Amino acid sequence: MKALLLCAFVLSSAHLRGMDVHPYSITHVRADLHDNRIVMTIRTNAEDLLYFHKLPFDSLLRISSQNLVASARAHASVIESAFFILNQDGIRMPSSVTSSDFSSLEKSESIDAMFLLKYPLVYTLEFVMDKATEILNFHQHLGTAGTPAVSFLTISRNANTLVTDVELSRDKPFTMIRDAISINATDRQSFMVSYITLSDTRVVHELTIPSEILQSFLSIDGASEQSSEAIRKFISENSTVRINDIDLHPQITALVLGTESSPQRYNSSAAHIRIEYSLEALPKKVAISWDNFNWKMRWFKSLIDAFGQRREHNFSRFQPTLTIERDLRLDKK
Amino acid sequence: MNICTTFSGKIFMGIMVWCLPLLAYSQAGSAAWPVKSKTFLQGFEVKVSGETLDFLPGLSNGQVALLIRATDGSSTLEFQSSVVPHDYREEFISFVWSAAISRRLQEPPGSFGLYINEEKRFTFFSHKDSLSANWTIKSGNSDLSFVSTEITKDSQDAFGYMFLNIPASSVKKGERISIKVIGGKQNSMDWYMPFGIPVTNEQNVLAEPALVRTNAGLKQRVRVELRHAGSPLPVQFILDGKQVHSSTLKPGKRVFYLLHEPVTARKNVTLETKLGGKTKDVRDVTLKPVRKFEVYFLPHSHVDIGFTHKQDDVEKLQWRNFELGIDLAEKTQNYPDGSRFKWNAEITWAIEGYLKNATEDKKQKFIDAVKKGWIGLDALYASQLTGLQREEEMINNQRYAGILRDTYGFDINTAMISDVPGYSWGMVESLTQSGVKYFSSGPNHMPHLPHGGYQVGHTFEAWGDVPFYWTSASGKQKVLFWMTSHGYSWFHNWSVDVLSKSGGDPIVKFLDELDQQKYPYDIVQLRYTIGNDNGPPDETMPDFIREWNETYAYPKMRIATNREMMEDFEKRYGQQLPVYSGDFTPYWEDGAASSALETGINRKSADALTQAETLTVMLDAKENSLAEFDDAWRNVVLFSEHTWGANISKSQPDSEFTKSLWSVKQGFALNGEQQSSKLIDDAIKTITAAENDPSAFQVINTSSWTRTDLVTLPANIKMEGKIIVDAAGKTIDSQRLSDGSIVFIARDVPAMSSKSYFIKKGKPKTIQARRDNDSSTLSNGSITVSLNEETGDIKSIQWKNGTNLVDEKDTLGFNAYWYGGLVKSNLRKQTGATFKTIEDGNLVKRIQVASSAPGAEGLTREIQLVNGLDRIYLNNVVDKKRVLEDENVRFTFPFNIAGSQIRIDIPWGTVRPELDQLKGANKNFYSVQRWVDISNEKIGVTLVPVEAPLLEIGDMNGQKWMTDMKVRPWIKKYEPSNRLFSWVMNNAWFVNYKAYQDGKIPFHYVLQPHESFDEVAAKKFGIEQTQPLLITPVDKKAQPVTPPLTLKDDTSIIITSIKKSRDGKAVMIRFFNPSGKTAATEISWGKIKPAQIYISSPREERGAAAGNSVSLDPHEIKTIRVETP
Repeated sequence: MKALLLCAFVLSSAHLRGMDVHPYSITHVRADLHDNRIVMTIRTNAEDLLYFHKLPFDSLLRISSQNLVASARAHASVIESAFFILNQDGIRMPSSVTSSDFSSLEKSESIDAMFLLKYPLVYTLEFVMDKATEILNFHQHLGTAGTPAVSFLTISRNANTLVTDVELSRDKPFTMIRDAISINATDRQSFMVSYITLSDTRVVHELTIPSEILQSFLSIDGASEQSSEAIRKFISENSTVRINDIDLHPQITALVLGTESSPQRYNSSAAHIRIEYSLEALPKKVAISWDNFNWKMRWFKSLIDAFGQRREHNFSRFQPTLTIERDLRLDKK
Repeated sequence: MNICTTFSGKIFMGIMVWCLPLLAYSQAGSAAWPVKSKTFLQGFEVKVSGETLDFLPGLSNGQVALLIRATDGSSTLEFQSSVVPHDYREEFISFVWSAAISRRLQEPPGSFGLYINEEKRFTFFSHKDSLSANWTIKSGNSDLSFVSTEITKDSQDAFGYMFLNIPASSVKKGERISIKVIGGKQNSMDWYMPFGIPVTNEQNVLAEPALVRTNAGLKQRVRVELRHAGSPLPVQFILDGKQVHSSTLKPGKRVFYLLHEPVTARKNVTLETKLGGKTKDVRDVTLKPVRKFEVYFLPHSHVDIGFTHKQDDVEKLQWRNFELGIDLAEKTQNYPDGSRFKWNAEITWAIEGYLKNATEDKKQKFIDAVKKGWIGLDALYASQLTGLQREEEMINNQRYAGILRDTYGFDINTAMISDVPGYSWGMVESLTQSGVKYFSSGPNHMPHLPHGGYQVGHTFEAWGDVPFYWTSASGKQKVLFWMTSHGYSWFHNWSVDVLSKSGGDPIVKFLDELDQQKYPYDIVQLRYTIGNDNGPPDETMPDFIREWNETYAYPKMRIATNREMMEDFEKRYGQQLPVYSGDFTPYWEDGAASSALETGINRKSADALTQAETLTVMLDAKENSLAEFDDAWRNVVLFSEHTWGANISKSQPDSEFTKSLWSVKQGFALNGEQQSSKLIDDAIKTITAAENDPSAFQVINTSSWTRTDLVTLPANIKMEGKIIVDAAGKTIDSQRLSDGSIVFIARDVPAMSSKSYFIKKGKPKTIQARRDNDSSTLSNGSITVSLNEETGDIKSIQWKNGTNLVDEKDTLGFNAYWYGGLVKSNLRKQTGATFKTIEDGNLVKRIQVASSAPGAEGLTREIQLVNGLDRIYLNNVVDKKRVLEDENVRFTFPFNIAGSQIRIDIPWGTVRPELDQLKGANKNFYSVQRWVDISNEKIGVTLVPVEAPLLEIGDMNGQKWMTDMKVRPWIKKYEPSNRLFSWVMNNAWFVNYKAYQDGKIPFHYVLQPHESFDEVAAKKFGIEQTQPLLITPVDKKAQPVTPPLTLKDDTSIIITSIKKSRDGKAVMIRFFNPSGKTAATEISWGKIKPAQIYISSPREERGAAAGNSVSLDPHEIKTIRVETP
């Protein structure tokens, strides 16, 4: 079982100004295989509601719990449509949301929009699996709201985990044989997920770093304040942004550190980090750098939303900096 | 050093092959996939205990294998299965895990008892041969099987799966079972090794950057790796809608290569995999245009002068390697371009012995092979710990390369260094001055470690596969430096293994990684060494590469010499290479502190040899032969070679092998010391008068500037009723010391000349008075040193009545002895302090403090001041106990100099931490050539650690990287500090370096307070401490030595070497400008009467004509060749 530690948040006013910027959605999915059904537990957080349902917030940036719960309920249909499993013939297995848990939202009347990431939402989907099913092709299409989304898929049969935290995204479905007794996904947690969003008001860099990689850079001992501080320092020293040739100071606005408590072969936990850089001028030239690699992480791919344009960049020692220049002109028409 | 092979017994993994089950020793044959349940559980999911191996091929991050042997019945390992499901309903439960069993090495076979939840259930045995490697044994209703999927070619070890079928009723549901295996008492090296790798069905796909030649033209290759945990099944692949392959999939790993038309732009295609006629996997594969990579393999041995074998045996192995390499090159000379074999000699040490000892035929064959390009020559004598070296020692790394050039016309323009991570900045100057343009680096490589190698710090991260021009401190010289990120040992049998076994897959994967990283070049360097250190040429390599190139258009593979690769690379990419400057502060020099005595000796010998060369010119000492100098330099250079001792030096310090290797290594230092002393003595003898009671002396200055220093006459000089006077008759203060020797200050001894002193009757000005009332303060009028009466540490140093230069608040203590275990564990300092005034005369004042010291029989610290010299002399003697546990010894120097800048002396330059260091350089500890300076704009101190090269700044950081063995947190950013640590002893290396040291070991320090930092003064001061003024009795009528030349007094240019040319026809003079400003000087010729002067180099060539003036930019060096009639 994963124990999630939600670490302190530091949100700047810039974050509030930049609510229009889409961060990315991180979801943990656990699929338990049974003889004739698959029970999928989907754990996301209330911040998704903000982006998927355009929730209003008051002048103090608070959202009523009632509205949140209502939209969490409505979100069940998003979950149901976004998570699906195809069989060997590409036919979608019948599924339905069988239960949900929004109890985290029910403890106060309103919740600060800045802290929505702290409030987990849990949905349970059940898929009916007929006898002829041979292939399970897991999909996740959460990105329909324009929000880059990644899920970490763990599959188990009875008490045995078959695969842990493999990346599941729109571009990356996961396939397995129905009766597979064990799957060794070599991509397991060996990648660092990086999404960068550039807008006129801020730069957001969101990272999911597997503990195995993080712990090859940093001395951290599970989820603790010391670990959080070490991660903050690591990020602020390594994720640098220059806008119009001026260095920006990063602010870590979210840090979620997971730990694995059972004695598995691997430490499959990961740290999810959101770093924001507030802009004070319209960005014409943006330079984003990461120049800290070791043998375990010699490069990583970043998906970038640069002012609405999608692109990719592999950060490595040979190209530690991504530079984007914009030609800002008035439309004479 | 190949650290991974320090456990005995070779373990190989390679391509899985299926072997039919046959009878084995007491073990019945098994089926192909002998599970009794519908599904199976993982047998090895959690490691419990046992000798753990984490570096074997096939192990991913975090995965381990366990190892036991059938030795004395005590070798045990234990692991746990995955959890037995609560709702498990079948009659039997099957556990499966990957395992390997050695072939029987002797009779009776090694036995292994297998326990389930502490109950012994089975005994199995090592197999006799490949036919007996599959078996099943029964125990009641349970059975244990081994199915071999691979028998290694040479050792016949079996790799495969182990199956345990037991009644479900015998295990608790919801729990794991414990599997323990205990090796038998057969006193055998037979082994058993289970792997914590999941037994899986798995498919990995890589769109390779490879173009295959086929009858239908070039095709792009897709690699599919399938792991199949089950009975054999037919497999089919449908790529982009076409069935491209079908065959039978057997248990284990299998690799398939699928072909597709080459793409010119990224293209997504679908790959469908069918097993047993049913679709089992469908996925998208992105094909990219194939890059035209050319992989240059540099075959070499990696010469460890020791470690794997005794030094003499290593030399013979290398000679054999030359001959094998030549034979292979001859055999393949008509192979297609790229697959003809070539051998890189790597270093010149073994060549020197070979050309001296080989028969004329063999010698000629070697020479011809070099001329044909079959043997590549590289300039370094050995893979050095460059941080230990002096300037002229560094130049002598290329000594034998120069001899090869002069003797055979081999113009060597490359250097190779292997194993060692990090190199002194002085190497750039040293190499380029010797004609080397290209420098290939292949550090220690252990891919399972976080930084990719053992104690490599950030070297790979910074510079692996990042070729660049490395410029010298002067900015005048540059060398093309290229470090391969796979080091030198990637093809050893514990890693990917030889090409003919591993195939091209690791190469292609590596190229794909480079492509992902946007590696900007199409030429790739890979060192190719096989087996182990001191390994041979791979006779299968040319055929593999020929077949590869016949099969694949790209990537191309090419066997090359270092020179070919570098020249091709520079020709293609030289214009676009980045340029960097700075010290690549090395990482392995700490090991030299495991033999502090010999390290100190060797450092002094290097300077003594430089001094001997100067004396030989100054005094025209014809007795000193070139051969003697060559042999002495050879010894000094070999002591700085990175191989200190045995691969079992730490674990078996008293073994014959360890002792034998150390004896030879120690001999390099001791012989170098003896030879350098003899060369100095022999040179001086040319002016020495052999009188019983001499009355005239010459004090000789071998430096190019006027010097003043304390000199010592031996105890047998009779001084009663006598005085020392100079040539003008002026009485010179002298003092007889407590050991009987006589000291006086020789003032203003002219550069590269001498000054006369005489003993004559007269009333001594002062008689040395030895006191027993010991004081804790001593002063020479300029400097006052006070000691802490309880600890004996220095509590204050005042210079010219200024502020205390010692940080009194620092609790470490100044000149304190600190002893501890690994990192900073169990730190203790000396205790007690008994003071004794040793000297208290008109010239020399010296206090001795005796203390108890952990790890030692005792510690004495002597603090000495000399009237008239602004220096503090410390002599700390550690009477070391033999300690095998990890230990460290340091002397601490916390200064009180606000806003200080630290500067470290290195050959041909000065390093400011961080500012003058290359990215990836070592910041945990630094290697000091002669001095370290700490100063601000007004005041500072230059500290000369005479014997001890290792310096830590701020804290005892040397082993800080060991605080977290997952991260190995080497310091990335230097934090300024006023605390200096002289790290004098350690023994933490688990191989190679010494496990203990004992006896009396001296550590001298000389401190000179000064005003603002003066780099020229610091350089001179450092040299003066190890190239002292010399004194010899002479005939009364003897005149001072005529200098060979003199420079203007006010110049900042110094001469770092003056020696006879190898051809005996000239004098070679090397000038150096240590300052940060351009400097010029006129040369006034003395004893040397130049006929011709040429610009030259350590190669001693006749370059452009030169005149009688020298102009040098900051930190520039220049060598001239002065020919005499």
